[in-house]
Amino acid sequence: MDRMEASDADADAVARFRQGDKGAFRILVERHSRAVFRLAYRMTGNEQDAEDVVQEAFLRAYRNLGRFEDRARFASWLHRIAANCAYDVLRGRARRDEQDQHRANAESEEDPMADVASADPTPDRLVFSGEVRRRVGVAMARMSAVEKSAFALRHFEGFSIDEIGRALDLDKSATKHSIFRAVRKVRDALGGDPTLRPTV
Amino acid sequence: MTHLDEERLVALCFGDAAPADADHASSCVECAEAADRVRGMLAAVEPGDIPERGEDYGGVVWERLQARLQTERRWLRRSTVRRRTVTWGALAASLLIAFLAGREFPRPGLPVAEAIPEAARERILLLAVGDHLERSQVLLVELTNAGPGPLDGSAAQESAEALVSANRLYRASAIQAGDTGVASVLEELERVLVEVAHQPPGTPAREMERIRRRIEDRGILFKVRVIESQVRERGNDGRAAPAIQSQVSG
Repeated sequence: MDRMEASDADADAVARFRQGDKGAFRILVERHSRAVFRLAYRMTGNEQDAEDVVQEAFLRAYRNLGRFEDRARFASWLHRIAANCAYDVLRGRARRDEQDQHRANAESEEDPMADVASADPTPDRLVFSGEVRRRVGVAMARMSAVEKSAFALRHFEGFSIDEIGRALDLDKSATKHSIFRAVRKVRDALGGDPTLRPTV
Repeated sequence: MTHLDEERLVALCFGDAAPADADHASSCVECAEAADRVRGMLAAVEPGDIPERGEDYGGVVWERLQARLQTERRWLRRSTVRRRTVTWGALAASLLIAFLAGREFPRPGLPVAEAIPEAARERILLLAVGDHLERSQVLLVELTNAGPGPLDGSAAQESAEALVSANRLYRASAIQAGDTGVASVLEELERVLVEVAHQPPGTPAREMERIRRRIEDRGILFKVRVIESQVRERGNDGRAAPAIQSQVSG
């Protein structure tokens, strides 16, 4: 089914749902679940969180579908809802991590970033893609929830700045700035390799 | 024109640059090279492996979703006995107030800490918090599922009013214990509860719609559900929520 046909089929299912055929929602769930899971996993990086996001996104969609007007763009709307749910999960996790960090700091005076700092790269190590991936992982872990969400949605999912703004409740400038801050953290994490470091 | 700064370079690489910046980059070798380096760096950032989900995944999601929708419908049915729930809520809140304020229980002369074993106190408090969150979910579900138009104001307001005072206590205790995650969710919940509780009679439909949208847009129901499951989990683990534990032992 090409994109146009899928969009028409979505519009048809949405129309049936709005006319009272609640079973039509099943068609939408079956068609979009895998894509929503991929989006959720890319944002949260955690299988269980991604499953929770899928459930919550469809639940919110179910509750609001009666008020959803732009029938032809169901997929975009659903993905924005899922992005918003994933953002909630990331924010919740960030708060928990922050508390854990406070507790850990209170118990020990060791530098919490010592394990990261001790792994400073030599340029030759970065030729191994595994090392690059690890350092990108460190950068992602250093991003705030909003930075990670905005970056994942723009870089992995191809959301537009406007779509990200609507999903995360940010204005255009804040969205762009969040993406920039995320990229800067990636750059800092890859700082050992001059070919990966923009010199501006 | 001066060279593009880092932020504009990043926007350029994502195709989000202002037209003037894009024009500049197309004629400036230095900026074009810098943009290429950013693109090279971004190319190294891959999403990683995503766990595979089979063709039947949509059906699995649908089945789980059915269970959730049934649970919500069950909550709604239970809310028809709201009056009894509200009474229980008030009792639980009073019990909690007694605990938190350090009042003495029937055994004269003995402070709470001595009268009731700590583990038992923690279990009671976790039960009270869990029930509070569950009752809040009932109300939120009712509000969000009500559809367009004004709500059955008096019943919902009665529930909201009963929940507000207990919620304040839990939030205050979460703040004191430094449990900012829980406190922040309770704060969002409280705003909704207060708004619902204080709506004057004959509230216009659009006002209720605004409240519903806020619940949905901010994912308040989802957050409350997550917190509730964490509290229940802590109860099962035999660990008290930090926010509560500090009050009990303080």
